[in-house]
Amino acid sequence: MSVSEDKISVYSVADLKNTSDDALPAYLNSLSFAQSHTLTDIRLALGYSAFFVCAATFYWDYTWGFDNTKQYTLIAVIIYTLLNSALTYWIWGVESGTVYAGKHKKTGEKIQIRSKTYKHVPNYHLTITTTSRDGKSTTKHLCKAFKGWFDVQGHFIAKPFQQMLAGSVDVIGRADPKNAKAANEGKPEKKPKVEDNRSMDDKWASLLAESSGTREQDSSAASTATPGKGGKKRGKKA
Amino acid sequence: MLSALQNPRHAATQLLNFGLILSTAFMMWKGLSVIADSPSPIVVVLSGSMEPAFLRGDLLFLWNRNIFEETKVGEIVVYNVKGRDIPIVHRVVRKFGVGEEAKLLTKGDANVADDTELFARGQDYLQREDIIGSVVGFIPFVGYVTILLSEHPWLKTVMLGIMGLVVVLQRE
Repeated sequence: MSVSEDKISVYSVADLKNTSDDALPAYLNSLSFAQSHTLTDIRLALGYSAFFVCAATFYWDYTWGFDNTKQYTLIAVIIYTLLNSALTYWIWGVESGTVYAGKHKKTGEKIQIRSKTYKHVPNYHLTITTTSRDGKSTTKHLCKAFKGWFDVQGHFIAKPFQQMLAGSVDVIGRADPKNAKAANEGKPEKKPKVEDNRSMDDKWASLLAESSGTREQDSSAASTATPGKGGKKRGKKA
Repeated sequence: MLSALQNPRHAATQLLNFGLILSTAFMMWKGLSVIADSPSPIVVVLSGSMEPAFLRGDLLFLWNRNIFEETKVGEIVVYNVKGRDIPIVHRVVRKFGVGEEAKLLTKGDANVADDTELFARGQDYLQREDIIGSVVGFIPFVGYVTILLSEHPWLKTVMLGIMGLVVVLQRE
């Protein structure tokens, strides 16, 4: 249960991102969301069939030699190239950083979350696509500083992280009203980022302002949040 | 990084990343083999018998298709002696006959005598099928790493271990 085991370096954006990415499914699954693994499963299927083709090629090449199996090797190389291109397309084009895909067990609303970070910028970029039951989908971009849910030593603190999500995404907020309420009380009228069609320069400007600006309201939430739900969850993971 | 070991899909993905690096390298090699029609389209010169043309450690690119013309005298070829799996890089110095049945004799530029001594017992000449390719290009010295690796086999184990660890542990 000791918290220090889960400490990460706050200067490593990759560590910040990976820890947050891992916390996302843990949180959403603890609400009434059912995670869908289809994307990962297809990626694994493509990857492992490519690997299997390679293993087979290695086997017949090793057993019967190159000259006897040339035609098969040619076909295998072509299949491998196709599978690998499909896999690359799947990872970049379809998954593109998806860390969570799931469905609310009761309302049937779908949610897909993609995460992204830029090199050496400690901000968590989330693209959240929610699809309501009648098929209407909305996409929302969030950009939040990691310091909102990591303390100085690098402990992940679940409460502000959950409040951040519940407060900014309606579907999650409805599934977790307590955190949504807490989040809305914490920051009265400051919606950090709504859907934007602004140019990249504008985005960068606001991003910089956000990372250098004050965000003290989160730290008060953080200090009270260490025990309780977040601690329990971490205990399960460790 | 430890959480990856608890979630089977994470673990499978990490393992796959490692597997794909190895398999892609292998399939690129095989693709090159199929294109050049040679079981070993890139070889490293292991001896000094072709000095001053090639030195130990030079990397040679081979082409094993006779699309426009047959292998002829003066060409530098790589062949395997029957029953032994060490590729030898030498120059064709005699050719009798044409086509698949032509009899070829080779000699290293730096050697005093031709290769009849190197051939297997009872073998007096090479045939086209013994040759695994003609040299079409080379990069000096870069193959020296493989000479080091084959002379000190433990280096291989060390390198493979380090590569595996790095891939499994990093998630950047």
